[in-house]
Amino acid sequence: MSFLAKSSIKQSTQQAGDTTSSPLLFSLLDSLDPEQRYEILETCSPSSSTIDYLSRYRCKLYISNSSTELTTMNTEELDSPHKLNRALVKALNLYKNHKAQLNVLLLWDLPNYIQPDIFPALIEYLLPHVSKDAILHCYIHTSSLMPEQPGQYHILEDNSVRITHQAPRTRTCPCYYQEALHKLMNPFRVKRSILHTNGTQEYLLSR
Amino acid sequence: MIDMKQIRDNVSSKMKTNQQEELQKYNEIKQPSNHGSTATIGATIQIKGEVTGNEDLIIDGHVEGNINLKGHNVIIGKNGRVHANIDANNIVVEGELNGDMNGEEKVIIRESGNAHGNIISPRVTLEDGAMFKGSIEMEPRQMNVVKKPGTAGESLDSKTVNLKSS
Repeated sequence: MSFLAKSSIKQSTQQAGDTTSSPLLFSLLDSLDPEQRYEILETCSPSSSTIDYLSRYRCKLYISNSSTELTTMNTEELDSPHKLNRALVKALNLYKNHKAQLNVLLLWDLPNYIQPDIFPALIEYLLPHVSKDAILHCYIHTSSLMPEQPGQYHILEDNSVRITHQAPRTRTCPCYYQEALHKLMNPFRVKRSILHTNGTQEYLLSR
Repeated sequence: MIDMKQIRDNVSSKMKTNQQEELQKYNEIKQPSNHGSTATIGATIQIKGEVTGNEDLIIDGHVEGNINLKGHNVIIGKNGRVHANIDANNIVVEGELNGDMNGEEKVIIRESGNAHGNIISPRVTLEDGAMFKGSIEMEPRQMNVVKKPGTAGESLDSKTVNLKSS
């Protein structure tokens, strides 16, 4: 059964960016037990409002601020597994001795911008740092065009997400559908997804 | 015709406002320190080793090693370059820091700040535009632990997958 989640999405174009209700993100955050400790990976650049929001949980927040590094990686330059792994370590800053056990991975819209042949190495690199019950959250653009660069996402106190982009330019979108995501993010599988009225599909994936 | 007096007045008033803002920023974090004096490491000074003391510290130069100023404030100025772990009451980063921050009360990374390391502190502020790469260890603020009625313990195991209608 499919439906467009029109009623649940509020989008308002503001000077500071677009705002979306992001129901799956908040269902994920609502499911976190305030008594338990979590480890969360934030791949965007740091946002004060996101930190404020997540400070209600007992958690360790890893801010990798790695959008630029991850989206500019390509297998022509990183032509050996060793080089690629070194670049991923530099970008995500998760070292083996950190013993991170991530429970929540906030990828936002990064998957749209990462080269498909980089994905398997990225997931392989992340897996030792991810707990068995980890949930991965992302937005996939489904229109033919998408913003030229990944957005900056801010979780707001009123249970909405503000999205800002550096430039209004657009580029062609890879338009990944569920099967493509399964291939790219193996062993993660789609757990829930919802289509926003702006053509962005919100996903939760787990192993 | 250019009114030089008006321009002077405008510049003067803007400078006053900027100075007041700077003063306010420093006063904001200076208060908790229980010792009145503040030491400054000037822009041309380079220190390698362990920095300890009993007063606040403003760093505009280069420091490499460890900074242990429990109960006091450490401010890394815009020209400051620090490669050290910092243990202090309040830590403010306006320049560059490569190291872990243990702020008993607060850690602030200003817009001009670039910090790479791990933060342990009950309050962390990252201003818009601040650069940060690392981790933040957070304890919940009890007042903000509010769960929406009806959503507590909501399982994510729902098999309902709502896909785009074609």
